[in-house]
Amino acid sequence: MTQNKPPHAERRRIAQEKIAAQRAAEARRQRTMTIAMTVGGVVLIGGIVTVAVFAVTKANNDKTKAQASAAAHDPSIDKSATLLASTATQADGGDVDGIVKSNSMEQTVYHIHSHLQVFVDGKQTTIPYGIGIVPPYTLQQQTDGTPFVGGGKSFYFLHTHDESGVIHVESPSQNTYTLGNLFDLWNQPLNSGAVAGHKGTVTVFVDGKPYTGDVRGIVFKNLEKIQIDVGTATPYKDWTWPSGYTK
Amino acid sequence: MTPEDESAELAELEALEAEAEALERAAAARRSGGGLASARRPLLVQGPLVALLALVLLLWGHAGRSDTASAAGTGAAPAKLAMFTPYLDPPARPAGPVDAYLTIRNGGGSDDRLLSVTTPWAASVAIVDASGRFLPWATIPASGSMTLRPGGTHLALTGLRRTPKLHDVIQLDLTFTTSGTVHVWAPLGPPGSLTVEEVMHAMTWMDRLPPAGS
Repeated sequence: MTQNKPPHAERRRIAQEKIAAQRAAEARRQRTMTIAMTVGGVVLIGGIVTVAVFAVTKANNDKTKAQASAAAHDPSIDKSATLLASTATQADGGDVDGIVKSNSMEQTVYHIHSHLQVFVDGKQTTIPYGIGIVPPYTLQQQTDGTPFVGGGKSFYFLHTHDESGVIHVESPSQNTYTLGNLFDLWNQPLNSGAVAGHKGTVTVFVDGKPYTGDVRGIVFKNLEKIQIDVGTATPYKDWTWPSGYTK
Repeated sequence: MTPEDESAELAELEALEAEAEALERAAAARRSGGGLASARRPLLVQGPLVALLALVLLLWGHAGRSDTASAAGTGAAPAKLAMFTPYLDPPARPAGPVDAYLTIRNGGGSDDRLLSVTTPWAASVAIVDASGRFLPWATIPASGSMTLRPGGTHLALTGLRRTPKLHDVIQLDLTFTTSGTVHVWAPLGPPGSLTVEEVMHAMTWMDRLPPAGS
């Protein structure tokens, strides 16, 4: 019988080459799979992030539109054209900063008033009525024709009845309340570079004297007068307390 | 080489050839497109894209529902009330009744109902129509208003705890179905005769009958 098979050495070489070729092919296949999975993962994560950002942005825009629409139809809140900021997004009865609460003021012990005026680039803005008063409001007219809040659903210890800038501090115990507390319940920013959405250098006067401390930390005191300038500095403009507030 | 050595070498060679053949068969099977392994390749490429597409469709559907709900909700936006210029007439007799008036405006998309009124000054407050009938409630229509006025529907305070006099500031608590209870301070006297200072003073006696002469 004729021996047709190649010699052992040749057979071994052929078999080893085949095994090496298949292992190399398997390694290439594994590399391809790894690359495909990595690229696919990146595409998926990138897509999810993009879609999530889109969804969050859309939700925020929808919320802003809904708030603007609700504010436009609310007959209670102040819509004066010169407002420093609307009260549409202020606190609605929950505690603020842990110390500013709303109640029915059955036990008012501490009752003082401070005055706030804010100039933005030299123009005086209007402090809205109803800061710290939860709507619906009862609105009355003062003798000069301007409106004031004569009632509401609940009243924070810090609130405004009218557009005069008078801040009423009425609480069941003597406590330290600051301008920062008022802006927090108003839900408006207040810092050294921004006041209720208006950005610029902030200059502060307290009772006519320049104040260089933390604007948020100004403590309300009886018959105190606070002036804040945002942007262009405005010389201090004095304000006279009406006779009803002299004690 | 002994026969035993040759036999061992042959066995090793056949094992090597068998391994090579097995590897080639497995590769051929993958190339022929059958089996789970071949299904993995398109899955790896298309899977993330399909998942991404599903997520986009899910969020799109959710956004569509939100828009629909928002559009549908336009007509069902909650009541938004404000009360204007409340006042009371001096009583014709010391025992009363005392009639109170005000306008209630509703800027919201839903009706609200004035259900009840209380005051520290009287045992009861009724909603009374022009013919003197007691009403169980008064509706403030969506995007409308209701005016309680002399000769029309108004509030009547009876069972007075003290007869109010001109310029007394009377607390009225109005309770609505949707808007809850609203505290109102109203002057006894002409409409619009109340000042911020008077409200401020009256609020210190909230939910209590102020002492006479306060």
